[in-house]
Amino acid sequence: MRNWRPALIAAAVGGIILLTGYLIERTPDEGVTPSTNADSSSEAVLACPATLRPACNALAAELGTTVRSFQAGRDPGPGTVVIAPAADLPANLEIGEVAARSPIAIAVWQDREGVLKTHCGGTVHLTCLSFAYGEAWRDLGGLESWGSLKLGLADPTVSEAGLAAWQAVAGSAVPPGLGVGLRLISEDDAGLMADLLLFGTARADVVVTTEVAIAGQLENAPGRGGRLVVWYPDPAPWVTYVVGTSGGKGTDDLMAGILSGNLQSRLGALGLRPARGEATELPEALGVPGVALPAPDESERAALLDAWNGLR
Amino acid sequence: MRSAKRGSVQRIGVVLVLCLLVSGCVEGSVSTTSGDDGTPTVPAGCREVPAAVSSEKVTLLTDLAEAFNATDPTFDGQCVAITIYRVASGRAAKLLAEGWPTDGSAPPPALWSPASSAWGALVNHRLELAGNDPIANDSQRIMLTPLVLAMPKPMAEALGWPEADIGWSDILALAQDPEGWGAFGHPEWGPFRLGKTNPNFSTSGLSATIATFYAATGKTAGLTLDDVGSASVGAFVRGVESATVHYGDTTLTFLDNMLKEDLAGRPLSYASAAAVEEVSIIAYNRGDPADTGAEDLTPPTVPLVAIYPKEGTVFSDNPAFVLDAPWVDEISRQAAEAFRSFVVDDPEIQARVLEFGFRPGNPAVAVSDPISPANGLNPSQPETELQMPEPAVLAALVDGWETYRKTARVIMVIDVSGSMGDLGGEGFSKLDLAKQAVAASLDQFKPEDEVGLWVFSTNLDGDRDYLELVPPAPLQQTESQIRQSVDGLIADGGTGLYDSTQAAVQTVRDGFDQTKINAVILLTDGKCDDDPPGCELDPLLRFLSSSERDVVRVFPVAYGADANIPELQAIADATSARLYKATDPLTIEEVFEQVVSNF
Repeated sequence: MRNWRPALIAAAVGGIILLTGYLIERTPDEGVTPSTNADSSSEAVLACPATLRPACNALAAELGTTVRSFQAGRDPGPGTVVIAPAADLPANLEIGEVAARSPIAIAVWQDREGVLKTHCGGTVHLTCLSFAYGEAWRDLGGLESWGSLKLGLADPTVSEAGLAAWQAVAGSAVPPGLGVGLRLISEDDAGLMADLLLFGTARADVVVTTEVAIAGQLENAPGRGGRLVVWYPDPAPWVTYVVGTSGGKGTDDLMAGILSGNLQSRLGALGLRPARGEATELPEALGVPGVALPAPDESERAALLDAWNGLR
Repeated sequence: MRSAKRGSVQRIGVVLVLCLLVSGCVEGSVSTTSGDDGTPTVPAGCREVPAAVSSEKVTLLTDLAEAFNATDPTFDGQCVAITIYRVASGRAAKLLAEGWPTDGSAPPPALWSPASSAWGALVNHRLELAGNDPIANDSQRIMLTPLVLAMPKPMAEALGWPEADIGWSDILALAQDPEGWGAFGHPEWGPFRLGKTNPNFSTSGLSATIATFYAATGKTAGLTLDDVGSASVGAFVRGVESATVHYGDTTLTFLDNMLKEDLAGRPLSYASAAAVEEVSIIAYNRGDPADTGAEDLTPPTVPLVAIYPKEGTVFSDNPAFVLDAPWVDEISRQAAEAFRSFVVDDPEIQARVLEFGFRPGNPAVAVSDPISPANGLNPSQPETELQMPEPAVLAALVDGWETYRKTARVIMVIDVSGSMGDLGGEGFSKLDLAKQAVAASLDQFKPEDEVGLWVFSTNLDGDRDYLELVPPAPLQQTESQIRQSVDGLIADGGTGLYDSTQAAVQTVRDGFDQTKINAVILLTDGKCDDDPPGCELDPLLRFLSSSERDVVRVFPVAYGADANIPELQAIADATSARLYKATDPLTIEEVFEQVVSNF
């Protein structure tokens, strides 16, 4: 294991708020000028899945357009540019370049993290966790009242983010205690993080999901059960988000704006990693992710889904 | 009879049984909630988009619908108005699965918000069994509240609250300890008494029953049919149920009675704990168990605090489903989605659910006051959520509860005065309708329940105004006799209400059995008109409340428009029971079903 870095979120939260607000409020004449004609790009709209919605709101403000919700597999209609995993785009959309990336990460409630760190020899990593799912917290060094160690995942049969997380958790072997320990399953990574906060430790102590989904809820966590701490598996699956469109006025300009250097350099502040290179201005709670695992091929995907269905 | 004997015969399919057993298939009625005449108002030219919601959020969502409608929402050029209808979760589930009537008092909804997501799963499961597509697919949570054990603070402290981890196993130990509260240094508190609603009627009752079965196994997920059928689990559940004061269709009965006893200077006498939703404790401690929002309330002298069972608990997560139903067209769907977003997505609006004592469904809104230690609550709890059992296990679990629940010993006392011969509706006399209701209610008892039948008017047995037709005995022995006797009832004479009530209570008291729920059901359509001094209320009330230990609960049913509700309410209050009203005689069967839910 290397390249992991535990990071308490406290300081990070402010970073996201401030930078997001900063991006929203800045006007083009302050220097953040997309490489597009603002007038023409405003005729096309941006569509994003719930996980990317906070980031997309900030990007849209930069690009002078609006955002609508995108649901996997559904045609967003003409004049729309979608940012989503390629596998989630409907077949009629033309798939463009990679717009952003997000590594799979581990989010742990802070009090549990302290216990796990000790139990796992100073780091929180998936190999150690794989033997802890469903185990009584008292046996791991925690409090009896915490019950057993509960994991949350997005459904890999529904979302690419879920599949990537499942690859991280069960890519080599399905952990033995997962049948008992997997207690929170949501349709996608945004829903997973929302459920984690709504139900708190009652439903899950640990979730494995995209870094961007975790980043979107870090600031809310203290009001819903405590702070979250982020760890990174290494190597780790990454989720890539591409631009896609069925064409229409202004869509080319909007795509170009999204891929422009200026906006790419600001993705870090929104909890996303740029298409290429290192992220800058990341919230402090986020750290150095693991080396990217290659995306699973068709047979590996099938094997992963079989393993999931076997568990369920 | 919902016994093992008949249960297997009646079972058409797992989910159908669930709907019959679980809750509101018979709970409550469809009713509207706004507008001067009780009908939601829709501006001329606008499309009504109905929402069916469970009772705990009717006030909140009615307010929010008004605010949403005030924004003049328009979809595809069509003006829309969201209307809110109160429909109990179980009843709505039944209607959605079986076909929502278009001529009912609530139209088929575009948006449905039951108390728990479990209802959505139930509807989909039933539809799929019938070969239909699921309709409850797309949901967002409006707000949450966990099931807790509400306990008077001194009693909770005696158990070690707030530091100690307390759970159903402690309740079991206390319920089975012959010393009762004496084992904790408070013999004056008597035995441990639990308020727990009937899982056939109440979401709280169902949640508490799930929690006790889980607690018996030590599991927090994956409850199986084998678990439910295990002898040790049965013994645990039976032990917990043995402490039950009585059951019933709503937790409000327990909270009302606790508050009345508290304000009468007996704060610890009625129940030691009640399984309720966390939100109910906030309302109770404000002196407003029904959460009417009234001012000038008197808070209880002894507040309730929440015990989050150490074995885990269940959340009511109040989902809002935009239904994928054939009657929901694109405009209605868009409007329902927009209203849901209005309610859930805006943190300022979500903060309002806190005012109602719920945990917000938007994670951006912190859980804060009134969910706080000041109200006896712990926002960091619960630590463990229990996994909702599979439908087949759930059905078996409710069946199991029927077996393990506390047995009843009840006399049904039926008014057969002349006025009961008056027309009740649809060509039937009031007595005819009451006879049907009594006969139907027998199916709710189990064979071991002791049930008797009395009638009263005036001078039925010499000077006596009452007649014992069937003495209380196990229903497996008395059922046919009761049915025959009910069938032959005729209406005649006056209303010798008080002496009949006293005699029935005395009879139950004479054979009082601590292991059973000892009660009288009193159905009357009039007011006492016996010869003096037979209609003096105070002596009767003194008699009814004269025993603190061997309390015989009297559940009066005010039947028809002429029943004397104040005097019947006083009779119910004197025994910490509950008054039921069937002002419209045509509702008597449904009301009687609710009455019998106490057993």
